[in-house]
Amino acid sequence: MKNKNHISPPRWADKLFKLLCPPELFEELQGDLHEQFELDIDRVGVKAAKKIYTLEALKFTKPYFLKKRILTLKRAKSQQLKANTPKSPKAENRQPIALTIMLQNYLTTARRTLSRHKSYTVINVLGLVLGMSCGILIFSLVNYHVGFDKFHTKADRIYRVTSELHNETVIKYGNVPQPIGAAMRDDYSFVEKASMLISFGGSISFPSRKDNAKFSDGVSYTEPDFFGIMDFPFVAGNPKTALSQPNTAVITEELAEKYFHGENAIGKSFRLDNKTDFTVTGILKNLPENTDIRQQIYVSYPTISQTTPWLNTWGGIMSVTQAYVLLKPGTDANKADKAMASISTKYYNAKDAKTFKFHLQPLSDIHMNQEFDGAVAKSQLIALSLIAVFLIITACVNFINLATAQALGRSTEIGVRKVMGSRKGQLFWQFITETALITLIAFIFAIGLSYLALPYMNELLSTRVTLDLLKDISQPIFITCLLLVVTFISGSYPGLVLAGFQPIMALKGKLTQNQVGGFSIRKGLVVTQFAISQTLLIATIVVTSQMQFNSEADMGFKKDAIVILPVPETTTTKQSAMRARFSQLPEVEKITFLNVPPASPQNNLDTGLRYAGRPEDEKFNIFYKTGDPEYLSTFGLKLVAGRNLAQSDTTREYLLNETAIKKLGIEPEEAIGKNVNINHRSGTIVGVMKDFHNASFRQKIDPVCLTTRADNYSQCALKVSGRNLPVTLASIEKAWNETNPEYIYNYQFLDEHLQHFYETDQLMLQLMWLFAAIAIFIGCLGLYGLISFMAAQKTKEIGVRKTLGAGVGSIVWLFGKQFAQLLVIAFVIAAPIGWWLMNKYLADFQYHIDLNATIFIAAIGITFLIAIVTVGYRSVKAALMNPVKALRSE
Amino acid sequence: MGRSYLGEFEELVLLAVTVLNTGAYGVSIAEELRQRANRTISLSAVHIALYRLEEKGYVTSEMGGATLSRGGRKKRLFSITTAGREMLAEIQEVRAQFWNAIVTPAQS
Repeated sequence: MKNKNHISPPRWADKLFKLLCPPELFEELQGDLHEQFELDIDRVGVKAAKKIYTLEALKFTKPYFLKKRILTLKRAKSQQLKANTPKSPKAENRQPIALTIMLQNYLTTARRTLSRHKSYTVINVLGLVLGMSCGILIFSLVNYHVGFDKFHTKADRIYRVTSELHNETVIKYGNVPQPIGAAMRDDYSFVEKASMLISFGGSISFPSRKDNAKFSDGVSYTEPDFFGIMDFPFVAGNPKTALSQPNTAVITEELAEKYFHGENAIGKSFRLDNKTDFTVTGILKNLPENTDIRQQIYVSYPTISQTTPWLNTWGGIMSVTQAYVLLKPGTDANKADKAMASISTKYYNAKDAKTFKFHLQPLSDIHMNQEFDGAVAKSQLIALSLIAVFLIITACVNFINLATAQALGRSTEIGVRKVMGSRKGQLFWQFITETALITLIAFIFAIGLSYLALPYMNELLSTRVTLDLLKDISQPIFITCLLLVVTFISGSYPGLVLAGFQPIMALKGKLTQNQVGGFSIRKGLVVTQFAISQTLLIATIVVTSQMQFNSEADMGFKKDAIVILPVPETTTTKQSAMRARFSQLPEVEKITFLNVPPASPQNNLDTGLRYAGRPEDEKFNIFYKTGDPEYLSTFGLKLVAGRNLAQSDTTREYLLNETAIKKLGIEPEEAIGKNVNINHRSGTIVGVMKDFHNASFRQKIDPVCLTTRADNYSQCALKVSGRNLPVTLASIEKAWNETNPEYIYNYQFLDEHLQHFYETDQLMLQLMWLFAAIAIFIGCLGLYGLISFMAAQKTKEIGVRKTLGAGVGSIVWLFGKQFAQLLVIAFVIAAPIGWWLMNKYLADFQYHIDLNATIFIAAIGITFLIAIVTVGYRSVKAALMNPVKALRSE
Repeated sequence: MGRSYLGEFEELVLLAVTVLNTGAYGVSIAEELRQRANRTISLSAVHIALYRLEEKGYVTSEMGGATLSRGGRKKRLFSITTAGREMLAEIQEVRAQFWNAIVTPAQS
């Protein structure tokens, strides 16, 4: 029994108990527990006693004790914040009051400081406003893109069928052969619903009406199941039956208003492409902003066999056909995907089964998957978010810089507060309060600015982002985080510096700039800021030059002053009528009918070819272009061998480009007169064209062939004389409308058309200009603030220097040299980063500009210029000041 | 309704405090309850009851002497207040009234 004192309760239980127990009760409770433990040892033995002890310790997780514990913690925290009141027995009750009083005091001081240093406040607020509005806008953009097509209640079970073509390379499409919808429905038990969605552009007219209104709106052929898969609610009509009959259509409320002006649209009819009539049987609620399915007219699926019967084949994958399926609940998508291999074997012959493969793509993946031409790349969103973070950091850095510099001016205040008994923590929180106030002001402006800028952003990015701060939970959370993070990043360092002042030094006014928070840290911050803006600047310059190269470099054909017009009816009579009408116009120099210009982002068809007597098709595909014999001269294409095509519909002739000849492994002259089978039509090679760029500079030149095929000419290209374009265009429009009265006129210049290759680049460029400008502007604000402050600090130094004979130049240099140094250091950091990033960007282009020193020199030159403009005025003003004033002001 | 009521366990703890007179603290009370009520008693439950009673004003407490078995830690000694006594008396009375009102079949 003697040694029972040596038996102690389990240590971990003891520790746990200490953690859980409210500190003020700790002593008595632990005492009781230990005493009980001793008693228990006597009564039930050591082992059981330990067990009981542990259980007892665990019981302190009871809500009663936890509540007490949390209350004590809170109290302990507020104690730190608490005002500097002497401890009285009842101090605990007074704490909240003291806290509010001190907070009031902080706010008053903050308000006074801010209004006393107006320029400082304005600079800070402005920087933060810009940074934060970019943050808010980019966040809502990212949020918008991430939330695409998430609103469908069955979204996790909806999949799109995709195709893969395994040839020389594997090409992936989000589109499928038309019969696959029925195959999915019939062949697989895991498919609950399946629907095709086949979308075309269309012109809508109303034969029964007299106003002859015409609209250009897209239509989608779709099966009734479509509305069972996706959640697009009906306002009128029955979703299950609306599209079951041929020649029926469902339109959105918006279109119903546009077409029928508020009359009940149900039962009304419209005509598509001057051919097919449809009766409206249902009206859809307007489409939500965040869906990739944008068609506003859905027409019944059986009708497609009337309008485009040729589409119904397993052999072709048109970019208009999509198939959506709804899997049964609990289906393993991977297994379903594997099971789909049987489509290839069931519907294709042995050879094609190896080429055509089909897969499932989750609905949530569609918007951002670049392999299938998703609307936006994840990497772009990440890049944007990074830029937003950078801009916010730049603004915070500004704040830190200015505030730390400013701290010197407040040394007396801090000194007095310290003497009165302020603790470090209190001073720190005081400064945080002040920062929070500035952040809040900036935030209010930032919200306003974001609302103003939103329409421009939507237009620029062709998005439909809405800014509704209370719409879903993520926005308020983001904003709160933004406020907190900005406040703490910008407030904590200056706060620490302020709080760390030695009161005596501070009151004596002996603090100098170098002692305040270490100038080196501020230098580091300025360097960071400028490194960021210089990197952005380098990137902007490079992208700009590449874009210029894209539009100006020789593509191997003429693209200026060529107007492309649609040819709605591809009959020979119509063509000759159009040709005759256009040739009357004196401004039109050349006319050619074609299906696609030498280079085009759309309407490209690549197909297989078999050369001369070779037993098999070649491994590569050839781009198939059709055009009349004027094609070469209109676009200024040159022949390296052979002759031009002859106008003939009986004998088929082909022109091949040099790349095609090279890929065939023959010489140009050798090819002339040889037989070739392209697109399953056999013909003779009559000539070889000099290579021209048939796609963007991102791609290598592909094998291309040109042949005559009148029924395929869906476009017409006019070479016009450059003089007086508006008149020319007007007369062309008139001529077109005369020959095609039932259709809607549109035109495009070839060079503009080619710009579509670089649409995203153009967009990126605009954004980069914007962000680089904002980054530099914020940086300059900071620089301006710093230099003003330095000038104020150095008044006396400048006075002394001037009396001793220093010139204006040397004094300006006094300011300049520091910043010049910083800029150069920033450049040393920015240049390699920019070089690396831009090399990656340019690697995407097969034909691109080279990175050269000029670009980098331009970048640093621009920064220097801007910095000089910013710093110059202030420093010259400081240098020109009368030294007597400066020295007398003591 | 300006008065707090007592739970059954609280009432027992309050009675134990009264019985133990000057020596009432967590362990002794728990021990007392174990013996008299013959049921398992958790120390933490006793503590919670005690703190609640104190908040309600039925007991007061002071820190008392340390003993060796507690590793030299002080104990909190509880004693009943006038309000506590009144409360107990009242409960007793109410119960008695009920008991009196019961017509026991054995008596008839």
